[in-house]
Amino acid sequence: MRLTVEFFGLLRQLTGVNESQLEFEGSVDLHGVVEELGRRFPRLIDEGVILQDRELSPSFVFSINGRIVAQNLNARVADNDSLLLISAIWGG
Amino acid sequence: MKQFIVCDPNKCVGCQICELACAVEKDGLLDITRTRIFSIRVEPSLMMSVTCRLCESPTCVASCPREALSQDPDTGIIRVDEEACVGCGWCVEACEFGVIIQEPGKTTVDICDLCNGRSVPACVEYCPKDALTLTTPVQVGQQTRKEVLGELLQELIEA
Amino acid sequence: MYAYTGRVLHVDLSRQESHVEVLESDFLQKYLGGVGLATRLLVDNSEPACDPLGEGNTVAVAVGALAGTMVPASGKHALAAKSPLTGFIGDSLSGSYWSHALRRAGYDGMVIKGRSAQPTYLFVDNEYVLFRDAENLWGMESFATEEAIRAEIDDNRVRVASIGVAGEKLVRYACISNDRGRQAGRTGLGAVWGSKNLKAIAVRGTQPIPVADLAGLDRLSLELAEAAQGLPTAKYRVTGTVGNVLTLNRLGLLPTRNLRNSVFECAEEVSGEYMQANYKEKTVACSGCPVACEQVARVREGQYDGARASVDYETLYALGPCCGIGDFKPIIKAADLCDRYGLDTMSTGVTIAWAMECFERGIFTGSDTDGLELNFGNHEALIGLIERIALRQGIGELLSQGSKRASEEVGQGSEKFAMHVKGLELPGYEPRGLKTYALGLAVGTRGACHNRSLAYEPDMKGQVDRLKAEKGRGRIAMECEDLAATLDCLMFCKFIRGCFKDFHEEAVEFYRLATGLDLTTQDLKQVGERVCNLKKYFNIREGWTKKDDWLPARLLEEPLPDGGDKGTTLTPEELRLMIDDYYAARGWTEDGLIPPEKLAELGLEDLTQKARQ
Repeated sequence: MRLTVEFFGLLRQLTGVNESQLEFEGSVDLHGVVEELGRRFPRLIDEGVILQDRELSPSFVFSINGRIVAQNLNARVADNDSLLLISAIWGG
Repeated sequence: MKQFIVCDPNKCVGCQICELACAVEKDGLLDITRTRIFSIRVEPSLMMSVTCRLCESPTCVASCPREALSQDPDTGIIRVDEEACVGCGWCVEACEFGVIIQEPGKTTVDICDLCNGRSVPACVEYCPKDALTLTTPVQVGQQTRKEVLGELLQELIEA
Repeated sequence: MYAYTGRVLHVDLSRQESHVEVLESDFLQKYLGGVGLATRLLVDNSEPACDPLGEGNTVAVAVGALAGTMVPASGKHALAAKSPLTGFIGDSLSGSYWSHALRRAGYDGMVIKGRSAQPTYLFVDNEYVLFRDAENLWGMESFATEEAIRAEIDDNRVRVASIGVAGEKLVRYACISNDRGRQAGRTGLGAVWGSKNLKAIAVRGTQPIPVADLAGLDRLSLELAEAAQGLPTAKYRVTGTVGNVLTLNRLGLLPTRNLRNSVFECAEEVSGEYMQANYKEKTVACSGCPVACEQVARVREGQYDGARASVDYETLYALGPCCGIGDFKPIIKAADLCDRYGLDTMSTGVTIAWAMECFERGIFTGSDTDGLELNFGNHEALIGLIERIALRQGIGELLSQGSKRASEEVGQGSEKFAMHVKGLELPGYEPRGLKTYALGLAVGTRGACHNRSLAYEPDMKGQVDRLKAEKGRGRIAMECEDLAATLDCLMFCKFIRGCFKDFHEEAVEFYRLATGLDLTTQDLKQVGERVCNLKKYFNIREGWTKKDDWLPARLLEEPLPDGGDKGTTLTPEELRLMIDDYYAARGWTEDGLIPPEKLAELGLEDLTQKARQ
């Protein structure tokens, strides 16, 4: 299973890329995505974007195909899903 | 080696938190007239804070007609003898950086003393952007050389 | 009194007189400061049905409860008057040095009435109040005005709030600037000052601020300042709020070309990331703020070389994608011009976008527009119109009235795409894809406002289904408004709100350490509800009816045009359902009026007496 995660703002600085293609054997939920991102981009862990136990800092949220998923990372992802990892802080 | 406070204008955002921290630390008051460090916005996009530079042969000490100012030979910190100071203000004029204050309600002057007795000066601790550092001339030189050569190296790599 | 001074400065510009009103702490505890106190002062010091640009309008000013202290992000002030743009409550916030200076001069607020016979500026010099001739300042840009006054008084500690030429000319969305780059932007309060011949208010405040527990306040402030360097403020510090562009664009929620589109093909070129890499000059903070969100951008080449402005998301959206402009150079230039003339960038951009659509539809021709081609994306049109608006020349005369009045005058169906609510132009989030936010826009007391609503948050955080309109959204929109109002009364800048573990608990602690006054978290929440109802009361007094809570026809007749949720509709039935749900949640009547019991519950029973009189 393949999916894309796109990054913005600070996350582009920390990962050095605008997006990343991830591959998984079989099905996975957002915890699994977080774990893989942490493995690939250790700076996300260093800077506290990714927390222990495969959790995400409350300052960020995922969107799956345009649907913003509240902090519960149990949502499952499917092949070809388009994920955005975006700031949960809005305003301006 | 003499230590003094420097401000990096690239990091300074002009928040004036240093001024409040100083007034609270030295006089226990939320009173911006009592700060010994001064945040200046030189231009719309250029700001930094300045305080006592602990000059060699300080003009303030030389100017005082009552010899109320003295400089510690080891630390370079300027000390005000409150008994001798009559508040004439000549040192305020003589200081080339304008960092000596004499506020209404007080006859004697005040000068930054690096928060004598505090482990780190209050302004340095409170600066939210780490723009202020307590450093020495040797360290300033080393840091500048590192940064400038680092930038040069980066340009060469990118070219 | 601690922190508070308990003093409001009343100024009568007609008589060139001033006096001080004393406020008791129970009164202050009901409104806290900021928007709450300013609104209450406005209600108590104004008559119904005044002409907003006439002598009878009152301008109230109030600083936050914590102004003058070292509490992070607390250096803000609010102004309130009857808005010349909407005819309803015009409350606007600004921040930085001027806010602190007013408290340090010895005041919690001001009430300004009447009209000077000649251009005047006020100099509030600690306990002295001077009325000074502003003839030689009249016609000056905002920045130049500040510099001239500070040079005249010859004291760097003097802080100046001023209007530019747009305010002098009574452009209905003229703003008030302060401290070289901050604005009380929305609802046209700059025009209210202009109508009073009030060019500026200069303040020298050098008094100490006593607080109840200095050491405790200091300690808690340092903790908050440290939290303010973390991830909850990362966006503000790294890209600034312009960081919203790419995310909104990817979600198909970026209002583009007067909301004809919701995806912008040039989004990358006007993104926060692009700005950081190519145009960023400096980060600047408001006085006393450890976050430092102001992103100053500079153009260094081409015909707009030298233009410089702080660029926030709303400014970027209104002057950029909303007008189809996909290049930072004209956007920065446009923002710079708006700042100098003293114009609300949002109302300016969205009104220009309306004019562009009119031109593309043939409603305007070249002869109406002095030959300017008002096509979306034409930056010469954008720049050319801004000057005309500020000076009310040519088509600028029509546009200076705002999109509501302009579209009513022009007709020909242009009202359907005049993107405002109650006369205040829309912010930069696409409402058809954010239905709780759409509700918040419709019912907001000052008009279409994301900031007073905050209802985009539950939508954008996925706490609700943003594409669905259902019962329950009324309560959510209400709670968001109440929180915004609480922040605006205390005042904490909204950008620091993510840095608290439990906002209400920590806020009452800050309040207690500063003022010595006990406020429960329940009291604090009720302040928000009280002030929202107070603003509604003012609107009702000024002739609000249910029909004023609605959305522009485009949003209800055209589906979401682009992006992954293209085709989503927001129907009148859905909007009606949510609005009725909101009135019920608020405890209001079906017509959106406030029953006396609700006023009494909130300690506002004296307003019922007023209404009877």
